[in-house]
Order: sequence, then structure tokens, then C-alpha cells
Amino acid sequence: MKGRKITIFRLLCLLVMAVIFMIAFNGFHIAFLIASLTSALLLGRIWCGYICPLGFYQELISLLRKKLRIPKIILPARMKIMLKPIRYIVLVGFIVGMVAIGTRPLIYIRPDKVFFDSALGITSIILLGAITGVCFLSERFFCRICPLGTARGFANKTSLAKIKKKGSACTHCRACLESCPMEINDIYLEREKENVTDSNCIYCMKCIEACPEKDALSFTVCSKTVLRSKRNIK
Amino acid sequence: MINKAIERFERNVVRTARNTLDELRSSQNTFGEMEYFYKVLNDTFVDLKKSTIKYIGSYCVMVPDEIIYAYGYRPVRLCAGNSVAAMLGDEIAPRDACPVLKASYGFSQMDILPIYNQCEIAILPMTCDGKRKSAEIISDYVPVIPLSIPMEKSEESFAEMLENLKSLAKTLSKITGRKLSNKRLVQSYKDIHQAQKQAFRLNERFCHTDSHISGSQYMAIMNSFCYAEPSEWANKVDEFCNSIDSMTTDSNQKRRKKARVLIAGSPITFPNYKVPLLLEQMGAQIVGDETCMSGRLLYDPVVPDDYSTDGILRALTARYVTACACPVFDQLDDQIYRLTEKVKLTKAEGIIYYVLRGCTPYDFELSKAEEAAEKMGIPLLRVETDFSLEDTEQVKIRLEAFVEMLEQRR
Amino acid sequence: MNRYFLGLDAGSTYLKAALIKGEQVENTAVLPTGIDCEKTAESLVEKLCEQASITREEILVITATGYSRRSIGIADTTISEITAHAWGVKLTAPKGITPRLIIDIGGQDSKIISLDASGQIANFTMNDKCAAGTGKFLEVVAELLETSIDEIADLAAQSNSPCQINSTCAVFAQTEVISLLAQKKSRNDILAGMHLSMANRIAKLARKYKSNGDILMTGGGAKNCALRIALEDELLKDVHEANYPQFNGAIGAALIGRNEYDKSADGSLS
Repeated sequence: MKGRKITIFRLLCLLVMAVIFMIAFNGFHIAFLIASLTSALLLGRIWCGYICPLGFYQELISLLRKKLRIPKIILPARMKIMLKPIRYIVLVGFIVGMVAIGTRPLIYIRPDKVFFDSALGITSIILLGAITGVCFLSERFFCRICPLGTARGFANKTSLAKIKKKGSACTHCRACLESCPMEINDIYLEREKENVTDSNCIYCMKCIEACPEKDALSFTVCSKTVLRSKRNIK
Repeated sequence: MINKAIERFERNVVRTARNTLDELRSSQNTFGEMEYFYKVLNDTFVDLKKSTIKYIGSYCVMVPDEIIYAYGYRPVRLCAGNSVAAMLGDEIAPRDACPVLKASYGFSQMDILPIYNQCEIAILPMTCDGKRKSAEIISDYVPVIPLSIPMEKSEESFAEMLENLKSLAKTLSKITGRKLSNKRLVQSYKDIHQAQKQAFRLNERFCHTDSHISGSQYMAIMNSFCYAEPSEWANKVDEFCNSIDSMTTDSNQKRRKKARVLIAGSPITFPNYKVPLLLEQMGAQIVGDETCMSGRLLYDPVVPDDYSTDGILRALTARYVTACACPVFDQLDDQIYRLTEKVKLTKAEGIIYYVLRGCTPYDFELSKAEEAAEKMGIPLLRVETDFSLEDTEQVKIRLEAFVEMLEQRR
Repeated sequence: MNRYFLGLDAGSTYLKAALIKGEQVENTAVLPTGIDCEKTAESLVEKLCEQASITREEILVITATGYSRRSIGIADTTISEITAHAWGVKLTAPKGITPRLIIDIGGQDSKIISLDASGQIANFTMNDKCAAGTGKFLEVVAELLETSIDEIADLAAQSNSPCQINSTCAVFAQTEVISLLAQKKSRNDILAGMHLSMANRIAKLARKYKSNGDILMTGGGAKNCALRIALEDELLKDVHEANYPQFNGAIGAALIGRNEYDKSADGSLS
């Protein structure tokens, strides 16, 4: 773990991308969709963690919540299980919407425009409220049902970027699960398999930062280890 | 009449503690500054220094010190290791109860130890059978708050345990009249986190293949945390680690390397250092310690995701209960993995598995540990004993044969 | 060039000595330990030297083992009994037997030592807390039945219906013997029952180590064939008697002395 350096680096990436989007785009372009899905083919949901401005907005709100020391609301287990079918329903709905009705979700490129544009009126307030509200559940709650995220997530299993776990070094201290914005259980529970890249994983590296055991979790790209977990004793 | 009994008890208790402390001082290396740690043990168990410190005592290792500290009390561990106290506790406890409980009863009853009689409350986790039943017995001497611990390690158990900690806080608020402020909780988390960090540094240096720190030395340092002020202890361990780092390593090279032994099993609390001291006498080097009152005491860090009261309580639950390696829980996988990792890290050549007479959970873990040792290809010796010194000779011969066995296998 | 090494096994009752020359046991001697074990050790060494017609100086290393090993000044080095016994079987095992489990029945303790394929100690158990399962148990019973420890094996072998003995404690066994005599049980039957009870107790310890090799009995108790046969019945395997069973410890100590001498002569370890 390099302190919080990865998170800082990642937030900077998100900030830069948000600014670029604000300058470059005013409306939804299909190129954006193509770009984000192509990136997924190679590196899974890396777009979610390092580029998506909606994700950035969620992280900002969560940072504010943490600074104010407001606790997060834990979803009961039964509801957590329902999220999986809901994801797929939303994905189907989204595809239908894009193809049949012509939905062009600007929120993915310019959330600031969607939330703060008075022209949209009540819709924008509702959206703002909803997205802000879910950030009290888990850091990236919307990402757990986001249709584009679900689509990219399919590629996580074959992605060149993987989160690996060394089961014998894990002490089941739960630090990874507690810090995971997507609340992925497998990171914490898995003992046998080496590859623990879940379809929800956005590569935020918070698990690796939090893990106190040497080499228990690591991040590899094309089988080369880029990051390892270790105890922070500075 | 009663006063004479207390006087005699005190004399014997102090003598036992002093003997062990003297043995520790004389048998250990002079590397590093050990005086502070000896002083803590001395003040607590030999000089019986009275003070105005208000303690809240706890048993086992599942009660978060941070919560106690946040209420403005000093946390202290009440699991005792004195053979004289155990003999007294024999009258109260059933014959087959473990000596840790017996010694705790003995101390509670006799009221001579400041850490017991300056205790306002004792928090007792409901772990093994003995601890469960102790709640009633100990409540005769001090108000007891039982803390229920779910024995499974599932998601539901985690949620349950978090609720248990929250009600513990509520009960403490009611009894002490103080509230659990977020600011103080975060501050105590940070203070005790310092202690955890320093303990890890010490552990790194202890488990190193070329370590200068002897096993009994390490145990004394770690054990003294239970009775010391956490921030002060952390600073002293920091100094100790720094002084170890500045030592040269040539003195160990020419002499024959001692047999490397890992100790695991039931808690080894001061002054019950019979087994580690004997092992070192027999020429072994203790290179790792997987017992809960020393090696495992501060190993896992508390890692909160955010600093809300809820967030810190979640992190405390995770660290103190979910990560706890006590065999009292349903599944023993974690313990065996840790043992295996420790052996690999310290390059231990043998394991001494220490079981206190009457300690059923560790007895059950023993067979799994034996399997694991066989898989690793190293011998494991079971040593079953209690606090008394009557079986010193028998333990000695077994340890000696074990050490010889390790030396011959090289 | 003949190399002599001497081993001393200082038990609490008897002090045993063995002199080895090359790969052979030259001779052995035993005396009651007495109160001055140093002196007893001296006289044993003298006796062995005389018998072998050598001088003290020709013995390269004297190694002591056993309970009082540290009080024997003339010993050059000491070793624990467990290790000594494990080494002793290298010479005392009968031809064709590769011991994987050693059952040592001494006067006041018994040991079970499990060896791995290369003859090194894999694990061990001792019973040194009570007399049950040791020579003392049989001694106590023999005395009560007005016979001696040397004769009980033959007497027990003659029995056809051994008594069921319930106590394992040597002290309470006395009470049980008296009550059995009152029931007009024969001495042979009682002795046979005692052997079975003792074998049962020892077998409980021995069964912990599932050995897939030969079982070897050492110590004074090995000479008792009734005990050996009773153990075979309990463990369902052959139990062999070591050569020089009482001196296994002393022989092992001598062998270790030789091993240390050879290692230090190489200059490898001090």
C-alpha cells in the first residue's frame, strides 16, 4: 500500500477527465459509448474507476460524507441479493431505451449539466437528489446498477487487468470489504482462487491500499504485478 | 485472621512474580532498552503500585481497547498467569477449569492487585464455556458487562457483533454516566493504532532470521502492553526498535545457530513464563509467537473506512472479532493458515504447541495444527501443563529432547 | 585403530554403562545408583576398562544420559534419554529389524519414540508422572505376591484365565491384589492380569503413532516376555526385544558421543 497515493492519483484522473468533458462535450456522442466499451474489452471496468464523471461526482459526495463523519447506510443482505437481477433488468431497459426510444443519457458525460441546468427543472432535482442519496448507501451505489457498468463488467473476467489474491496470506481482517465502494464479498471471502476480479470491480485499488498483509492482494496488468498490498507503518 | 491470609497471599504472589522477573532479566540479551517494560510488570505484579488510575478491565482479546479508552478509562487485561492465585481460585472454580480463570478468580477475591481493585467494571466476552460461567462468579467482586460474541464468522454474525458493540457502548454510557463522543473515539483509535504499528515493527524485527530479540524478551514487551499506558508503551517500543536497528549483526555469525522454534497455543501471561524460559534454557531460540497474550495481541491493525462512530465501530468489530484467531470460533481455517505463514516467515524448524490443562478449544485445534505441521514437514510437540512449577522437570525433559531432535534433523 | 566410546545411563535406581568399540558393544555393566552417582559412575568406568583391558585415556568420549546426567562430572557431554534411546536401537535392534517405534519400559518411566524412515526421531511421548506402565508397577505387585520381578514373566505365562484388573495406579493395584487373593484367585492369574493391564496402558500411548515398521521394546521391561506378548495382543503387531535392552540408553549415549567426536574432528561444528 502506498498510503492513499493511488486514490489521490485516481481522483486526479477523474478530475482531469471531468474537466476535459466539460470543455469538449455539450451533448451525447455515440463515440463516447464506443470508446468506453472498447476500453472495457482490454481493461474491464477501468473507465468506471478512472474516467467516468458520474463516478467522480459520486466519489466527491462520499468524500464529503466521510469528512462530515456521517455513517453509511448498510443494505440488508436480502436487498443486496436482489441487486443482481435488477442490474440486468436495467441493462435491458437501457438498450431498449437507446435503440427504440432514442435515449441519450447526457448524465454520463456532463452530470453537472444534468443536475444544475435549470432548464430541465424538476427532473434534474430528482436526479440530483437520487444520485446524492444513494451515495449514503455505499460509495458507488449507482455503479452497482449502472447499465454501462454492467456491460463493461462482463469483460472483467477476461480483462488484462486483474486483482489477484494470495489466499494463504489473508487473515480475514475485512479491511478490503469495508473499503470496497462496490461491496464485493469475494475479495474478502475467497481463499482458493487467485483471480478475484469480480464483474463489479472498478479497479479503484482501495482494497489493496487497505490490506495490511504483505502481498495478500495485488494488481496485475498482463500478468505483471503493478501494485501490492503491504502494511503501512509510517 | 483474614488479614493474615491476605498478607501471606500477597507475599507468595509477589514472590512468584519477582522470581520470573529476575529470571527474565538474567536470561535475556542486553540489547535494547528493556527497563521500561520490566518496570511496568514490576509495578503491576511486584510492587503492587497503587494509583488513581481508573481501569476498565477486560478478558480475552475481543474487547476493543479503543472503546474503553474513549470513555476516559485505562484498558487493562485481567487474564491472569500467577500460580499462587490459581491455587486459590481452585477453591472457587471447578477442578477442570483452566488455570487462567482460576488465577483471575483468585486475584478478584483477594483484592490485592491494583489492576483488579481499581477496576470499576469488567467486560467479559462470552467465548469459551469457562468464560461464560465466569460472569456470575466475577460479578461478586466487580460489576461485569458480558459481551456476547457470535461464534460464526458470517455476514450476519458481523452485523450482530456490531450491534453488540453498540449496546456495550450504551451500557458503558449508562454505568459511567459519560457519552461516547466521536472525537474521543477517533483519538483513541489513533493512539492505539500507534501501539499496533509499533508492535508490528517489533514483530518484524523479532521474526527476522537474524534477530537479536529473544522470545521471552518479546513476550515480556508485548505482555506489558496489557498493563501500560498505550501511547507511552508505543513510544518505548519505538525506541526499542530503533536501538535494535542500530546494533551490528556480527556477534551471531560464528556461534552455532540455535534450533528455531515457534510457540503456539494457549495464552502465556506473566508470570507464567515457565515454558518459554525452559525452552531458551534448553538451547532453543524462540523465533515466533502465535499466542494471544503476546504475539497475536496487537498484530491485526484497525482499518476504518471513515471516521464516523459507526465506521470506527465497524473497523473495531472487524479487527477484534472477525480477524480473531482464537480457536473458540467455529472454523479453524484462519488459525492454521496463519500458523503456516508464520512458520514460513520465521523459517521455524519446529513448533511447540502449548495447551493449558482444561483449555478445550486449543486442545481441539491441536490435531489440525499437527496435520499442518506434518504437511510442512516439521515436528510439533504438544506440551500440556498448568501454572504450577511441579512438573518443571517433566516439561524440561520433553523440551530438551525436542530441541535435540531439531538439531539432529539438520 | 580401535576407537572406544562409553555411555552412562544414570537412572534413578540403576546406573548403566556400556562400552562400544567400532560397531560392536564391547561390554556392559550396571550398579545401583546409590546416593553418590558420581562415585558409582567412576567405579563402572573402571570396571569396564578392566574388562576390556584398556586404559581410561583410550576412551575418546564419555557421554551421560538419564535423570542425573548433569551430576556426573566425568562425562564429557550429556544428552536426553529420548535421543539416547533413539540412537541406541541402531546397534541394539536384532538382525533384520528396522525399528520405527520404540517402547522403552524403564524402572520409573516409560517412553514411546516414533522414528522416521531415516531413523531420526519423528515424535515422542513420555509417561513420567505416575508409576503405572513402568517397571515400578510390576515391582510393587511382585513384592506383594511374594515373588521377584525376574520370575513373574514365567508365572504369568502359565495362567489360562487372567484376572480383570481395574486399577492402573500402582498404589491402588495393591488393594486390588489383596481383594483378588481374598477371592481365592491364583497368583499366576493375578500376575497375568497385571501384565495385561500394563500392556493396555502402554498401548494407549503407543497407538498415537501409527507406525508402518517394526516395533522394538527396550528397557528392563523388554526382558519380560509376558509383557511383550501382552503388548503384541494389544497392538496387533509383532513386538521385538532389543539386544541389551537395559543398556539401550547407555549404548545410544556412547553412539552420540562418537557422532559428536566425529563431527568436531571434521571441524564443522563446535
